[in-house]
Amino acid sequence: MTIPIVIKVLQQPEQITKLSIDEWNLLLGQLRVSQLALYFDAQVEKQALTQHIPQKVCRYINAEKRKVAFQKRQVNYELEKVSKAFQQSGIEATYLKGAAYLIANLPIANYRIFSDIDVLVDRNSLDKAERALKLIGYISQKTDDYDQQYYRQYMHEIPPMQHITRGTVVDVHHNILPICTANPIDISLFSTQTSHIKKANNKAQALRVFSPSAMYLHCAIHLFHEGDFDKGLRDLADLALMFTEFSNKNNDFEQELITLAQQVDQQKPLYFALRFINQIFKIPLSEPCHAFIDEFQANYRFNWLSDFIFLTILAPYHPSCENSKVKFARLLAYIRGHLLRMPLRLLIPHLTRKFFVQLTSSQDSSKTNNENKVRPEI
Amino acid sequence: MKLKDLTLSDAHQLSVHEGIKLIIGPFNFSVTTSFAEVVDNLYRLYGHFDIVPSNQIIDFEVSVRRPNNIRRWFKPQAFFYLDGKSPFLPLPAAQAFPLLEWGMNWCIAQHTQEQLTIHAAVLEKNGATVILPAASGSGKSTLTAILALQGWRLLSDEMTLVDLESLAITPIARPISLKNDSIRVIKSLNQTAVFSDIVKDTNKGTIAHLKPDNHAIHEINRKVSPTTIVFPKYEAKAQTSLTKIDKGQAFMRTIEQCFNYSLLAEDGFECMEKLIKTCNCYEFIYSSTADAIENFDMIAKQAIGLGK
Repeated sequence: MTIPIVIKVLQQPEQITKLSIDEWNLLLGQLRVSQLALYFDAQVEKQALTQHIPQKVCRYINAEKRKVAFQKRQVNYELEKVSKAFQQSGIEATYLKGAAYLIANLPIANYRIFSDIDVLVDRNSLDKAERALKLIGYISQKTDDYDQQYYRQYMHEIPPMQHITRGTVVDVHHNILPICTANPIDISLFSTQTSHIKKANNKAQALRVFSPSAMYLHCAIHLFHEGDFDKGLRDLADLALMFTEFSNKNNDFEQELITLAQQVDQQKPLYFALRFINQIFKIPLSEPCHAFIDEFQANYRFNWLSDFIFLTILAPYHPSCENSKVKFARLLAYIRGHLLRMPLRLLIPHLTRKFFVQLTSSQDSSKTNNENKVRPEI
Repeated sequence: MKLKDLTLSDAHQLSVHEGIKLIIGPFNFSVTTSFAEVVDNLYRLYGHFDIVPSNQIIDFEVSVRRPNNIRRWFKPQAFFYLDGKSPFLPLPAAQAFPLLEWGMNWCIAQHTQEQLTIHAAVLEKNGATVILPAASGSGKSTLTAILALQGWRLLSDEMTLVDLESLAITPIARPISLKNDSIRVIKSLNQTAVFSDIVKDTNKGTIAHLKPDNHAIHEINRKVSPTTIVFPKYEAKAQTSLTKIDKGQAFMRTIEQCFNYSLLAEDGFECMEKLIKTCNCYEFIYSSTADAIENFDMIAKQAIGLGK
């Protein structure tokens, strides 16, 4: 299998000194669909090769930088409002994913665009949290009774809440995996730490996020429970950079990570994460990680299948990388993702219902994938 | 080499796979499509644009295609793709060419953050550069077409790109999008004006695109400094009036038409401040073509010297 050019240059940024025009065209397209422009830029800058990036690609990278800076300001503002509301209601909240990377001041927060603010609260505080958000202008996005019930009964989050004027979305979770799965996670084992953001008045504000091992494992669990991998390569790049960052800062990080995965019985996502950051992005792993991988692999019957799926789909969703093998692997990943979310006895009625709703409803309301798309104003 | 130097059948050939590669001001586009009428219209309207030489990077590989499902035949649709991804909802197949135009605007607006991008037309005559910010339906494009036919150089109909530092305006000189009655009005002004096919029943009514004149395309790389901002408003039977407005009001009204004002933060504010300070600002209400032409010639005279 040929390696997509975006992966090649992320592995070896020095390759950019000898790219042809056609290769730059391809790279620009792959960077754009994979949302990896700023990851690429950072790698190139580390090697002091920025002057080799052509002006047109630079222009695109600079536009992305401005977008990320804008998003940071927006999220900071939103975090200030949301955390104040939670504080006043006496809710302990832990911020997850993109917002957490920003709060923890990780380098990847400067590279990635994300849309929602994810927050974890105790299951008993869910109602209170929902009310607190409503009071500051967030309303539930899904209004259909079935959707509401589906989320609340089976999922690990309540339906997304969107601000009525600003449009920002907050996802309130009470666990990190659907609660209807075979073995739900004991969320109390995920340790937290506080970190500071700067408020509009320049005062620091302490917010809670997962500690590095929990943050890393959550990211791995999240990626490898997905059914849709259009941002998969970007998320794997997050895992690669976070791994380097955390293990450089703390020698015990890897051991803590493995121990946590064993405690919460989530070895598989960690196995995938470590295996694929090593195979795809060539991130060197230390002895305990290799030992963990070898041990897991020895007892894992479906290694050939997961390798086939993930090594195929963790690539840019770009026309240059499309073929029937990729399509087949994506289908398998999609089915796998759904099976992981719900047991079959729940999944079949759920999908059947969704299918009939789609058949009978008017065209526009059923476009789940198109929710965020706009109608062209020609 | 220009697109018109190829034959139409060459263009059709290219559109299948390799792409029709056009230099549009500072952006290089490659267009592939499965719609023959998209190629015909592109060839007609973009004939005087240069073809991208093989030693230049393509900024946007775009495509307008039919979907691979039943909607290929049943109530056929057209999708716009950038890098194989469709950023917005499809339109009926009959609107494939306007969809391409809109998609190209979207590409430019999304990926250009080194300039303040304003939903505004911009034209230049003898050193006077007039920006026309306007909400849709205000008659901006009609006025733009009228002026372009009167010797004003078209820099852009849909989007004004203002350099954050120097305020220099980057021309893109793409076709002017005309709606409903204004198509007939412009046709009657100039029998030789070249139009795209007329597309009916869009969300804006009937649409046609007017080819920019060769002068506008020839000068596409010559940037200019802004001198004047005019907020146009077409009102049937209204008394024509050109009123100077105060700078604070002009500032706020221009922000309303900006795509990336808040995204650019302080840089956006500073650029906007400089822009408003530099320019004479007017509100212009008109109902007749002749009045419009006359008033703009006056604006041009007043602006001389401002843009230096």
